[in-house]
Amino acid sequence: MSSSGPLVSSGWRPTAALVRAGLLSSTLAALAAGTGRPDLLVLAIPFLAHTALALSRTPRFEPQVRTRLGHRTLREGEGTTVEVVLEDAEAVEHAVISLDADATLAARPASGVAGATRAAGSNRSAMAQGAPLALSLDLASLRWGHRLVGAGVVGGTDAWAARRWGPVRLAPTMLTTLPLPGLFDSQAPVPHPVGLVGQHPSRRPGDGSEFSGIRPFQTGDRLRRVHWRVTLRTQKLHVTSTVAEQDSSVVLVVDAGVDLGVSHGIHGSASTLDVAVRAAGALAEYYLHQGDRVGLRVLGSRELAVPVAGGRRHLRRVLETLARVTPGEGQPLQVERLLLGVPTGAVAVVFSPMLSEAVATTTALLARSQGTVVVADTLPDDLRGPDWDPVALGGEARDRRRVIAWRMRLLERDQLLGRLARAGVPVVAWAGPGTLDTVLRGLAARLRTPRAVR
Amino acid sequence: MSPGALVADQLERLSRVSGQQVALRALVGAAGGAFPLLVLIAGGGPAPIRTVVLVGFVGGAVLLPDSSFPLAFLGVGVLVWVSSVPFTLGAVLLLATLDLLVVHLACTLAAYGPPELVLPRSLLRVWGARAALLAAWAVLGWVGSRALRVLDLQATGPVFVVGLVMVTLWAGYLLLRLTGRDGSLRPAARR
Repeated sequence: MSSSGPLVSSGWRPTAALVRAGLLSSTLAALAAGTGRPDLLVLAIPFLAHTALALSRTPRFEPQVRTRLGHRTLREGEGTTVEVVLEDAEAVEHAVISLDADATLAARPASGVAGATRAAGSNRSAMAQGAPLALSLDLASLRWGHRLVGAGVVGGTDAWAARRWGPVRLAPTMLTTLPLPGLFDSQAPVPHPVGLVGQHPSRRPGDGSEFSGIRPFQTGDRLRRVHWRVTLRTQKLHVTSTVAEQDSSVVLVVDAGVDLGVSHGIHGSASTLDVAVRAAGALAEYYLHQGDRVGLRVLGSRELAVPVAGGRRHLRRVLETLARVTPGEGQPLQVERLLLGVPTGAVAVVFSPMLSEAVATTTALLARSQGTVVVADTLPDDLRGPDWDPVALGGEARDRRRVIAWRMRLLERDQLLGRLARAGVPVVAWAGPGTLDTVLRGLAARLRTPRAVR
Repeated sequence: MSPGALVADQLERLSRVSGQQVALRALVGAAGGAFPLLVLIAGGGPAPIRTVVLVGFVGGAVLLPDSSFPLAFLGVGVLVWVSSVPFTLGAVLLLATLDLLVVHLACTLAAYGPPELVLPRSLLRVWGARAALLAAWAVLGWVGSRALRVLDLQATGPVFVVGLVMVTLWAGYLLLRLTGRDGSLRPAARR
């Protein structure tokens, strides 16, 4: 549980109910005395009783607020609890919290308003001892990101609704929501494995699990590799040889310079950056499970980069870095730094809607220097076609100017894609499992093809 | 905030009210709407303008139970009773007292928090007991008034003076308590 510092209110004030009861009781009593009408005193009695009972207790202390968030890190769609604890709250009979509306959060109750009371008989002894009063609200994070949550107000009411304390602003707490990686699977091997251990069969013999052939025994071969049938038949020691298995490096490049479309969280429509971040997370998860090494570069956002490495902890690092991506910060692209960060032999997968000339140029330069670059096009299907809906870009329906502007943008995009194709960079629309299979097979075949050397 | 924005904000708030709030506000409306009828039964005579004013304030109290509308309704209601209803200690007086109490308590409960708030049942049970206690005080006061009426005790000068002194003391005490702020930081928290 994380916790933030205490907040203090500016005191207890009479409620409208107490003011009402007090004014009515005194007015009616004065009228009854002035006019000599006891019926007015009868009308005054319940208000008089309410006022007297309400004023019989006086809150001694102001409550102090502590906000606690159940988890600091979640995955998209996962939930946690915001707990607000009121200390020194002996006088508080009922407290209520109301969280600020946030499109990236779902609350239970959905209104984001929850109350708690000490009015139950079982809690009376705890009330007398000054036990803290706790309010809690369940929250689910619907979109990846690094955000402050738990902002809102808290207030309390004492017995007989006589005085109100607050509302006091709640101190929000930072919550990191990791992207929930989309589904990804690939049947195609990575074009050129370069490491020492992994699951990709290489072209050279070595320790592995994939059968290569049976050959005569050599010094250094392990005894468990001896193939006894062939040995008995030939009267010479023979061993089973295997193909070495190697790992490879995959560098994920996310274009955060632009975020198109409307994001409605994990259960709703996705923006281009949603698609890119979730797809990058999916690839990281898949290749790291395969034993490969994965790195991350973010274009157009803050200086976000994760060096190429492997392991389960590294997946967490990649996802946490993806969660910190901020769209449209307008940071200039640093091509040199990007090129330096991609090791030789690595496969670079660029996730981008390819709407920026700078990103297209960077991708082409990367392909020229590193060789194996694939572009995963993250532009959603509903934004590609000619009959797209301007509402999908946050506009109004039948917004003709927006339609024309977007068509022009799509034409420019086609030109950029054409330039990339001429530079030998394959572009494939992101579609989840199997998206990269055809492209990776093609790249592997191209690398195996002998090339003329001048 | 401009009036238009204020109205839009209030309508937006109303669109989010919980079922419990709807019930409480309906109770305010029903009890508030019944008061002009009780005035009529008590001999106040038909008065369209008075009724319209009362109903207007009831409408305000239904929409904004945490505002001054409930106080305005109760204040005007009491003035209407004083000005138009002849002195009576009949059952209609007790009904009118309980009716005003219902309006007051329903507005109190509806003003506990934002319109979306659903009050816990335990708190409602406590308030049920409190309402019964206040109603019992009203019944006792009504019975006591009728008993004194039967005894035909005359209000003498000293009684009148004592009554006025008590009312003045009560009003002064209320003024002190309602204008001040209670509670302070616990000494440990100040540090």
